[in-house]
Amino acid sequence: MQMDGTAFTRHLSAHRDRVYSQALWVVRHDQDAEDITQEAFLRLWRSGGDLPESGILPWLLRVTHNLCIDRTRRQGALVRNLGRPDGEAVDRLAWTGPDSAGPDGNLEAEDRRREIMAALATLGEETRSVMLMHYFQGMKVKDIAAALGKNLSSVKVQIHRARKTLRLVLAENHGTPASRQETV
Amino acid sequence: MKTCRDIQLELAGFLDGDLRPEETAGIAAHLARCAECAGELEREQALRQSLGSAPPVRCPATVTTAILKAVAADSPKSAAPVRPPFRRRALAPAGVGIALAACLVALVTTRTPDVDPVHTPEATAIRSEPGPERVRQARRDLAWTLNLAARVIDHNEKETVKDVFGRKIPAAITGSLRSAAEASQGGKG
Repeated sequence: MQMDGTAFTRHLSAHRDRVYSQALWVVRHDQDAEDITQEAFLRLWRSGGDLPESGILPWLLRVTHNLCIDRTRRQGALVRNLGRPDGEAVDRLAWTGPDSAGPDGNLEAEDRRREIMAALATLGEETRSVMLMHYFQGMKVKDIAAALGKNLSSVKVQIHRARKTLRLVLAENHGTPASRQETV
Repeated sequence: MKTCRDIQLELAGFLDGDLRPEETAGIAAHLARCAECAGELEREQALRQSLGSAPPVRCPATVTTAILKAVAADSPKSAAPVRPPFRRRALAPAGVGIALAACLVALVTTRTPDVDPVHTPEATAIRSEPGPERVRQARRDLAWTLNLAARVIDHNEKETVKDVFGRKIPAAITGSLRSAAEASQGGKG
């Protein structure tokens, strides 16, 4: 059974940028992100459309998360992508390249986002994916836990620890103690 | 008695509005007297604001095309209507084409025509009926869609349409559709 074409079109139009962004920022590889986006939507098409309207994006993000993790594990990229990202990749991943949907006009905010994305890139793929689902995609912690089939407490702890890591990385980048970092 | 770590673990749920009223009140009371946790709340809000307001990276058009092609390739498996052989041969690809053209138009158009004949209840009803009128309706749908697509999509997406339709629609149908499209210009869409 496949999804109704009109509904599929609507979902594709509404969510393709967010699914692609999620995949790109997690796997940090253009071709992999494109393949994952395609696979996620093809699975949606084949899902039969039983999902409620409000559940489509969380469903797509769950599938995207799993595809990203599968891919990085398969490629051994969990090790490869750890550590500091290269500057060019971070610039492109942080809304500054030709693929950007457009800056919000606030240069200071743009700079800050770029710093945060650079710090996010130092996290492992799974944690980075969860952080993006929460802070970028706006999913509630309980919804992330439900979508990923995880214990709510473990997701809370994962996010809490990741935030501390981000703060340390940002502090290090600024050459200031973590306690003086006021933004993250 | 909750520790600061306990409180900080709950800040996301606090901002999400997912806690019970008594939990929310307890955290609010703690935040009022604990500068460290209040600062943590501010930082949590700042991070949400910073990443939450970020525009997504635009999905490349090539990916959209690949998705639509994959869906088109997936479609005939489920389409098994009982029709005479000629109509099945003629309409199966046209049906996929109609769906794809509608997808492309819906994805790229920034303005909506006042009347969309493809999705009116009457057109839908006719498409569900057997017989020659169904064939004519399918042709009208595709002509309208192509006509609209030609006016609203950019070069890359036109190439996509050409690519998809060039491979899917038999020549006999294409000629008929072209005539219908010419006849419909200036009218619908």
